[in-house]
Amino acid sequence: MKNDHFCRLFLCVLLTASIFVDTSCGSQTSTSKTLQQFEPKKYEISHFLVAVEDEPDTVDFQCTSIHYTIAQNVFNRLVEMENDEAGNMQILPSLAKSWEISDDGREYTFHLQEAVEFSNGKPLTASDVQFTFERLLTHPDSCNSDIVDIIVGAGELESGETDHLEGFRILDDLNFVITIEQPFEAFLACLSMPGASILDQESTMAAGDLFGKDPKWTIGTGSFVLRKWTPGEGMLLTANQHCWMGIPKCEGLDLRFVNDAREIRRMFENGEIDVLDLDELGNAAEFFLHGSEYQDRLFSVPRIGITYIAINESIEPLSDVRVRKAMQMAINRPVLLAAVYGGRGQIENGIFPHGLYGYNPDLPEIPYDPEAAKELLAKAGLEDGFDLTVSVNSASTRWELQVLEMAKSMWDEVGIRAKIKVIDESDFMSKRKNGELACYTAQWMADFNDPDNFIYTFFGNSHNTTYRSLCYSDEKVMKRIQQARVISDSKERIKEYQDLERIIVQEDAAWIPLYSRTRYYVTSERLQGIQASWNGSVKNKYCEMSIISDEE
Amino acid sequence: MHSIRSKIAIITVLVILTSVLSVFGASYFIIQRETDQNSVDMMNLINSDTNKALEKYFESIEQSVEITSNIAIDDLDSVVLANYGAIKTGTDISAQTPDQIKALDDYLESYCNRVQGLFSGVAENTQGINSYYYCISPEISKNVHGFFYMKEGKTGLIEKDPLDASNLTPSEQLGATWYDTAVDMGRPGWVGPYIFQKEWVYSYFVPIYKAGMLIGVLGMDIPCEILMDQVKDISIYDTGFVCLLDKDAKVIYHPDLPITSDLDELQLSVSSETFTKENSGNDLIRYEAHGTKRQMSFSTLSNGMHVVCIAPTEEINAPWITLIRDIALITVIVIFVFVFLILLVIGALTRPLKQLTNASKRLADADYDVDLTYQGKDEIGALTNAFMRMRDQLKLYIENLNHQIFYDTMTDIPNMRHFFKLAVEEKKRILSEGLDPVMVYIDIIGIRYYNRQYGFEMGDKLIMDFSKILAENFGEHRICRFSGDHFTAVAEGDKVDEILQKVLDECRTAVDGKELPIRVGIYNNALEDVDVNVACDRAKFAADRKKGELSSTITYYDEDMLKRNEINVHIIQNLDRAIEEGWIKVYYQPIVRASNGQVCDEEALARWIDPELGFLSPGYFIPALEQAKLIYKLDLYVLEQVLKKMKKQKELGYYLISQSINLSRMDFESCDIVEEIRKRVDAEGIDHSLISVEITESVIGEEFDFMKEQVARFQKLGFPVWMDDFGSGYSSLDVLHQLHFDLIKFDMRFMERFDEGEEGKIIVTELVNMAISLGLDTLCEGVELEEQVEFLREIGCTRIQGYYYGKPTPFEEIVAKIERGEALTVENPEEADYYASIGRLNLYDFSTLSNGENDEIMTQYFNSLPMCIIEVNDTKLWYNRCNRSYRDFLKRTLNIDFKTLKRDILDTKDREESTFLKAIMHCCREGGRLIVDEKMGQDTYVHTLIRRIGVNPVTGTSAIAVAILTIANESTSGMATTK
Repeated sequence: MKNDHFCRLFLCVLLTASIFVDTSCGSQTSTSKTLQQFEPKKYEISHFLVAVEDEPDTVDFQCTSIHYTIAQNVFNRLVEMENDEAGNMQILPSLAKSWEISDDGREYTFHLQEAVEFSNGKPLTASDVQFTFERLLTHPDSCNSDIVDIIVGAGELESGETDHLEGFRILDDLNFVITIEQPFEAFLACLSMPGASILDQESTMAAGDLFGKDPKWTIGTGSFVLRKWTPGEGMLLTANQHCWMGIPKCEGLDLRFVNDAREIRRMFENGEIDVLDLDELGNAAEFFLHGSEYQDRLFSVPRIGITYIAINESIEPLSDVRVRKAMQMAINRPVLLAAVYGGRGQIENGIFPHGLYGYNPDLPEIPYDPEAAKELLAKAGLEDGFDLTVSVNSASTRWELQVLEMAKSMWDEVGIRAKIKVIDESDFMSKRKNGELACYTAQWMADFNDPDNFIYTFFGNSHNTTYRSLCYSDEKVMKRIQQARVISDSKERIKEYQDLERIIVQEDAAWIPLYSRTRYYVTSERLQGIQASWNGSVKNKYCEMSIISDEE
Repeated sequence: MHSIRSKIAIITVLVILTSVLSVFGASYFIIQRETDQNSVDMMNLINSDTNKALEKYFESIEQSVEITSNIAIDDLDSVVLANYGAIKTGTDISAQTPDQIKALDDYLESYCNRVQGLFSGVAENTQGINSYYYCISPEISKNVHGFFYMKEGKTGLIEKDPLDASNLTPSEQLGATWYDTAVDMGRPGWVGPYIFQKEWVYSYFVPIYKAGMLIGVLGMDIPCEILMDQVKDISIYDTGFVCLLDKDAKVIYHPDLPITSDLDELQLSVSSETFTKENSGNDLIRYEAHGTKRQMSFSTLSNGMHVVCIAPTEEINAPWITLIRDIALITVIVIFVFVFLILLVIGALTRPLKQLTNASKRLADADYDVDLTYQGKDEIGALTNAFMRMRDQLKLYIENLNHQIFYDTMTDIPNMRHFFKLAVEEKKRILSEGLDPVMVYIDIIGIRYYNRQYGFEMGDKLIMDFSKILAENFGEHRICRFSGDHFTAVAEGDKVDEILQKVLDECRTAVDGKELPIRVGIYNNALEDVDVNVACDRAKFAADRKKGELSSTITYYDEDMLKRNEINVHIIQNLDRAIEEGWIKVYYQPIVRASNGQVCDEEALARWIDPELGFLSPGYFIPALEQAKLIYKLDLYVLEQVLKKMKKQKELGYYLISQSINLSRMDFESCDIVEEIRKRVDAEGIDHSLISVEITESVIGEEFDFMKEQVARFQKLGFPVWMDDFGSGYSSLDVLHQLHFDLIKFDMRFMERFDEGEEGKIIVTELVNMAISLGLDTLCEGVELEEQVEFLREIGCTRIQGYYYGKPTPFEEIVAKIERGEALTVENPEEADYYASIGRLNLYDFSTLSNGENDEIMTQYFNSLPMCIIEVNDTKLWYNRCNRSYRDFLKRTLNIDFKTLKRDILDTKDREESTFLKAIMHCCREGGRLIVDEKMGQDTYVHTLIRRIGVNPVTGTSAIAVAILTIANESTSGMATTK
């Protein structure tokens, strides 16, 4: 009742005011200005897409490796990466509408989209791009500088020897040339990473530390505009009505900072959340996968990542390839997948998981063959088996333990007496870094859709392989991996990667690939058009989703 | 009539009513809204309370089951499951070995025991559960079914046979077995209500998954009864209640409906869509079911159950309707009380006002004894006080006024008005004593002259003294001062003479020892019983009969007077008729010029020849008409007749001579007689000088200035004004001094007393002399004898009227006489001036001859000169008239008698030689004057002044005035003594 009264009163006042405004000359321009200024108020928050987020310290994507939602929705990159229908990686133009790569593969000439404006109305220019990359290299908290450290002069800039990125040459407002130190086919893929999102030079410089923390100063060219960030509660993003890509399909994003699985589940069941990542729910995820209620609203995508068991070649008897192979063959991976994830995933046989650019479907399956394993162990002189310490990070999730427990029991069958040792996280990390862990399990998710992101990370050089406590020893292979990076012919390069993959996993049994998981989302009844990007994330596809409002 | 009281009461009641009604109307809406809001709030509160209680209850169940389920999941070792072949993968299709089955069953057995152990602990701490169970999926194990504990009777939860999921009876309500329902649900949730083990239950199921596989369903049942108990006892208003609906809006609890009844059976006007909302918000849902209007609010629990609060609209509204009714009742009572109080208060307030009003009315009705008792100090008190003062004042004034009205201010005896009242009473009293009442009218004689002599103050004192005498003798309340010097009194017929005698006695010495004459008239009621005023009138009439007498008289009203009175009445009543029907005739009496014996004027006199009463004397009808103030009608009628007659005379070729008409004093009072006369005379085109107006001396008397003005007006218009009846009353010579009349008419009484001695003649002579000296014409009426005529001629009276020359005669008769040649000669108007000038010559006044020369000696000498007027025509001459001295002169000197015979100068020689005659002839011819000496007889020389005074324009006759200035051998003194 009271509201009614208030509304009526308000309407009256409004009406009077509007009459006043209409009748008074010359005030119309000011009215329209006012409207523009208060544009955000037009948005109806109930029409916003609601999703759950962990609250970030900062959304400065140059300084975080965790939170990229803002980067993906408020900013754009020069290029975007997407899988084609065949599952192959495709680099798509974004802010850069086109580019040419020099024959030697070192010079990239980019042509920016015309008439792209940041949400503050400032046009995008080549200098913004230059600023972005220079900031990425020079920002003290930057954690993504490796994206562009291949550019000529990056090191000098990073170290402070110069204040200018040598390899970045501006031709004019919209055109510029980037020279990289050596040809690197994944360079464009790197540029598609969230960390390479393009900043507005002027406002970002003016913002200083406020960039990424204060919505007012966090200005991008993307589909949404960050409007509000209420610590402990969430963030509000409204559709960028002037987005160069077109207006997003939903009016805005309502990102809630919630991390309690039970609360998230409650919220979703109450219809308060539009997109629910079942990963957030733990055991309760089962309740959405079974039963009839949510079947229609389930959305599954492959998760471009691989779960593996690392085997440290530098530790006896794991240096013996036969032992490693025995370990591979002793694991019944489908059962493992079923027991841990209810079979929701793919058994992997190499390094590159399903969905990754360069995945090799023809890779022979690593068989579950305990007898063969035993034989191999016997051949290696370990008829009585051997003792193995398997390390588990105390901070790790339940499934890691489960995986290892199951692996332990399976290895038990063939005589490998595994002992699961839970160690402190920091201890775990330092030991792993130093190549001291004998065996552990982990998963690697693709940063960008390129095999390099996998193979180089683990087997690219002795540092990398030691870093993961793999301690792969074949220098030749490692060399080839490094060389593969610069193979400019992609087919050639993939072929090389696939060959290397086969050598490392199938021949050298450097690790035990387990599986890649399927990722599940449940959507609210009002959400339509859910899509995921190549890596199975839906977070950079919010602009494609729409909310059916109740009124309609 | 609306009294102030009722007006104020009505206004106040209206005001109260209006305000009460507006307040009532406003409160009606406010209360209605408030009640509405309250009912919303209350029902929502009940809903939310119930909701909370239930929610808490459900939550505790949910928590119990979920805690258990979490442990049940965690406790399950997926490795074991995998090892015992429970976990099946797409690739591994090998069946479990019997060992594996056995091992798995064992594992599950112990697992279930553990879970049960936990669950029982949890369940014991959970209130209101009916059973708890874990039903292992038959796909995991065909032998191990889990556990099932259930409450039975009043015991605790007792172990029952585990429930075999593959061997369950499908529930009618769920459409499947509860297990399948739970599995199909795939997630924790409430299911129900459904009948399980012969009891309506509501179950919370948690499907247990491990490694993506359904292990079983963990659950707890609650009896619906508990839910019902939660809401059963809630009552809202009288018959309002709370019911529970499940998430599909089917009834879980409803006081009138069985469990699982459809929403439709509630006859809510809402669809199940409505219940998808969290609650009904701020508005109640109104609907009609089973002929009763109801309102409903609901809230939805987290498990989809709905708490619905329903109350009949009537009951919701009952409080405010009661309130409104009570307010209305109170309002009515208040209004009544107020009206009563207002009436009381206003009554109290207006009582003195009412008293005042009544008092005023009584006062208005001349009740001056009205009394008021109100003593308040307020405005009304002041008003009452003022009123009382006003009453006292008024009373005083009225008494005073009454006295003034009823009592004569001067004498303090009753006035006429009061007297009539008193007289009526007295008359009654006297009559009742068998006596005859008489009315006495008393007039003081000559008070006017007394006033003139001694002043009004003394006059008034006289009147006061006289009134005292009357009061003493008649009694204070039997007398009255009528007006001026007129008094009336009432007395007994047998005592009146006695009383009057005393009065007369006292009057004898009333004026400083001198007599005060009074005129008394008495009317005895025995004559005719008349009203007091009539009696008064008649007494006055009787008294007035003696008017003119200077000594005291007492006159009784007698039969004659009565008759006369009747005649008067007749006259007054019939005047108009008399005029119309010609009863009134105008008679004309000739007036003859003394100098030529010809009719020079006629007096018009009215005669009333009544068909009933015969010839009425003017002495009858004129006073009557005067008294009735109708005389002007008569007088104007007479004038009209005169004018008519003159018109006729003109037509007949007669000389038109002056006509005189009589005016009464009443004419001047009744109308503007001057103007009326002028109008009529002008209308006939008659010269004003031909109409003379006769006004009696008495007319002049009272309003002297007014009359002086009227006379002047007549004269200014050219009407001659005559003074009539000079010498009849208290004639004052002063009048003649003040007013200039054209003619003085001596009253006929002078002629009546012609023979009574010389005094009368002397008076007349002197009066004529005086008139001549004043330049006035004179007329004497009532002349019947020749010697009278001679006398009058001699003394210089210019006109004569009387039977000697002719009675008043109607015009017709005059005409007849003329035709018969019997009529008197009528003076040719052209000769009038001539004869008038002769007539005007005063033979006693030398100045008329001396033509204004102021010779003192001459004047002295000639004052008694013998004079005569001689008319000369051609050679003939004759005396017109002479004075006594001349006669004496003739007698003594020439020894001849004065004769008016015509003689021819040429007759005798001596006369031819006479110087005197010659001088006369000369003067006749030439005019002017001559003084001649002639020897008359022996040694006598007569010194004579001759002067022509006029020439007759018709006959050429000249009038010569002759004055004997000296006679040589005689002393002048001797002549002067001649009489």
